[in-house]
Amino acid sequence: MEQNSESMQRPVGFCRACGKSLSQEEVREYQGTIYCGEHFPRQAGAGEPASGPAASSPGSVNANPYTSPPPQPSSASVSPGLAFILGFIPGVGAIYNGQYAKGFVHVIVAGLLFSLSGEETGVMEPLFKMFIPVWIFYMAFEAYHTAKKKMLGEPVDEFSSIFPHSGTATGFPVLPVLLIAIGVLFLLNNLDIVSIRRMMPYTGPVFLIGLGVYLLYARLRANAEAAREVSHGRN
Amino acid sequence: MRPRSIAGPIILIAIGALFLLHNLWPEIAMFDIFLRYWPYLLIIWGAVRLVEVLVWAGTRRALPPAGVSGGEWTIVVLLCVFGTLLFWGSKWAPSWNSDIRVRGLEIFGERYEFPVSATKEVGKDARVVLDLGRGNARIVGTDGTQITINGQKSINSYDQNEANKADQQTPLEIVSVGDQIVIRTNQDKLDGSRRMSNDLDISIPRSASIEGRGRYGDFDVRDLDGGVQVTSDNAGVRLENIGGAVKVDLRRSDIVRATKIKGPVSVKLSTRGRAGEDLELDTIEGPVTVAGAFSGELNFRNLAKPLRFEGVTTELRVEKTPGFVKMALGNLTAENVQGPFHLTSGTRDVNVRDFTGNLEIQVDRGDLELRPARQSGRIDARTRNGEVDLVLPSGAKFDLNASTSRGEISNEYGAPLKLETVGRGASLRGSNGGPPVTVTTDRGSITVRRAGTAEPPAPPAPPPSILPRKLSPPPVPEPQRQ
Amino acid sequence: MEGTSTSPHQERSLIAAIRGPVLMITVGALFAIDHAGLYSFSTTWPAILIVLGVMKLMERASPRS
Repeated sequence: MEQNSESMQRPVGFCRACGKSLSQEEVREYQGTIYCGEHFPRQAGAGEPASGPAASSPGSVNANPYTSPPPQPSSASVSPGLAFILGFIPGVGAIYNGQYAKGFVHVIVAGLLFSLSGEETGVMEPLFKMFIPVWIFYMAFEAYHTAKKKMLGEPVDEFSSIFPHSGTATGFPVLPVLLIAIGVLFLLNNLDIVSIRRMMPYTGPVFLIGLGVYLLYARLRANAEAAREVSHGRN
Repeated sequence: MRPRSIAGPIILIAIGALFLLHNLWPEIAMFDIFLRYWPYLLIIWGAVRLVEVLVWAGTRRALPPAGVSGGEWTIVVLLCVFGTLLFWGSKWAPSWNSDIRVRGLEIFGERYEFPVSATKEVGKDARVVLDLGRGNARIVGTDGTQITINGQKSINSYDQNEANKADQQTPLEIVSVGDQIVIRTNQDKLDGSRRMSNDLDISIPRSASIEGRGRYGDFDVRDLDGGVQVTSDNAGVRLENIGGAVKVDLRRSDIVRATKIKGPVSVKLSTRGRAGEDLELDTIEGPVTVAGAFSGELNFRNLAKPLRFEGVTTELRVEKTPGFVKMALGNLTAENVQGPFHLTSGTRDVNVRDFTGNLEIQVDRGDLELRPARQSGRIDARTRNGEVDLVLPSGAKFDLNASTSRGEISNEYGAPLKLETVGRGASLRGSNGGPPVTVTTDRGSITVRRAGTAEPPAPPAPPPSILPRKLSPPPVPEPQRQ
Repeated sequence: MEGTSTSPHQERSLIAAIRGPVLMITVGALFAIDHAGLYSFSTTWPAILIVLGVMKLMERASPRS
């Protein structure tokens, strides 16, 4: 009871799933989002952060009748079907799911595809034209799956499906490096220092090589990790 | 409680302060300031949020999961879109910008109208300059020797007193300056951001010449033996029955129409954006020069002297146009014209019928359909991407060389033309001792046909053109396919 | 662990919280440069990608919980 009154006095955050106010001890964090002990995603598994308080508080939270949440929280109002339909409009599906940044990215990519495919002198225009329907359908299905996840109360990360979290597994910052590389490339292109159009014939092979190197790195790293774990187990 | 941002209230206060400022000093061009400096709003907003987050972190309070909420991003995106659109819009079309301000003022103020009139005895051959500003002018040549003006003045104002004051500040005058007669509306003497316009009916001696200067409004001029010159930022110009030279120099325009002009005609518009819309020149006895960007339809009809047109990507020269030349966005149709006919263009479908003299056409993208009259000269027509349809009159003399780099050629003319397949393309050659006729496409098929003897010279009516060919089928060798 | 356990949390969410404002300042600066007639926004937009990437990298580099 004493802990409860303390949490009433100084809440530091709110559970993303149920909106309950949380004290410093009750906060659980998963991929940058705050949850209460009840809604903290179990999938996090072994990498669960701050396991100390987690072991002590859930019991006390569950004991409190006021904070015991309904099994399907507020996000049940999300309709996957509507999300799917809205997903055909660039960005709108993601915005419906409350993922504003993702919606922004969707709009930018769609806009890029449209403008690139409209460029008459481009060599790649048929490719970009083919990408347009693919991207439209991708957005719709992506919105559908995200909405479904939300409806089932599963946690969704802002960029969960735009970019896989494989980078997290290996520790190599794929997304940031890719972002910076593309940014630098386009900036140099726009400043007429290098020409992307002239580099087009080389980008395919270079991309493949880069992907290969990255996969090799990931594989080696995973092997090394496995070896270390095995040795740990022996110890 | 989680700390809440102070950015919202600050922005509200800033907007309130701006409106207050605007009401205190209405002559400050708020709109222009916003157009130019709205990005700094974003910077300040972001900086406020940044400092806030840092302060919260410093005092160890809980941080929001995101520094900028979704709603805020929506406002930011809207701000960026509208700011950019308006900024570029105002840059490209300064008059458009001021229209917005006029509309804004009309909401607050009211419109007051005053009748205006003036008369002055001038010589028969006066050189009249009309300094109109904003408004419309209808100018008619009459048999007298005096200038008569009737019309009205519209002033946007908050009350009658102010409107009266503005009316007195802007008298309509007819004065002699050197050897010119100047009609002044004195709109520039109006102070502040008030707006006015004049609507004038002017009659001047028939043999006078007139030069009109305006900012926004239409010029209609009729029945003058002298020359007409119109300069404006944005105007519709209609001229009819003019004896002298016509010179129209506009930045933007919705229509320029000139009919029955005896002198040379020159129309010049801005080449930026969609400066002009429609142009119509009919029955012009002098040479015609047109330059500028047009988004609508251009019609040239019955031109006795050479026509010269320069658009953004299009250049056209025609020696004589007894028939017509019609240009819309993406196509050109000409009928009954005399060469040398010269056209270079970007993307345009070209259809030239019943032409004589030399013909030279070069387009980047577009189909060509050419039907020379019985007596045509050299033809050199090229398209980079498009089909070519050449209909030769029977009995015509030519030295034909048709070639495509990628596509087929169908020879419906028959002998003496010979078809040859070259790689993925083909060529068709043959001569009966006439002038060279060269048609080339890089990508697209070519059809060479014989104009049916029974075929009417008028536009193609399919049934009669097919029938005679069926009656006398020429031995068409099936093109060899590799 | 007890005394310092909040700081890694704090730092990661600090960078997440900073991201929005920094992005906003960047966009504002690019448009200001555009309107001043130096470089047009159509030229400089990749800078937004670079800033995003750098922010992400910083998020990585900060100590994990």
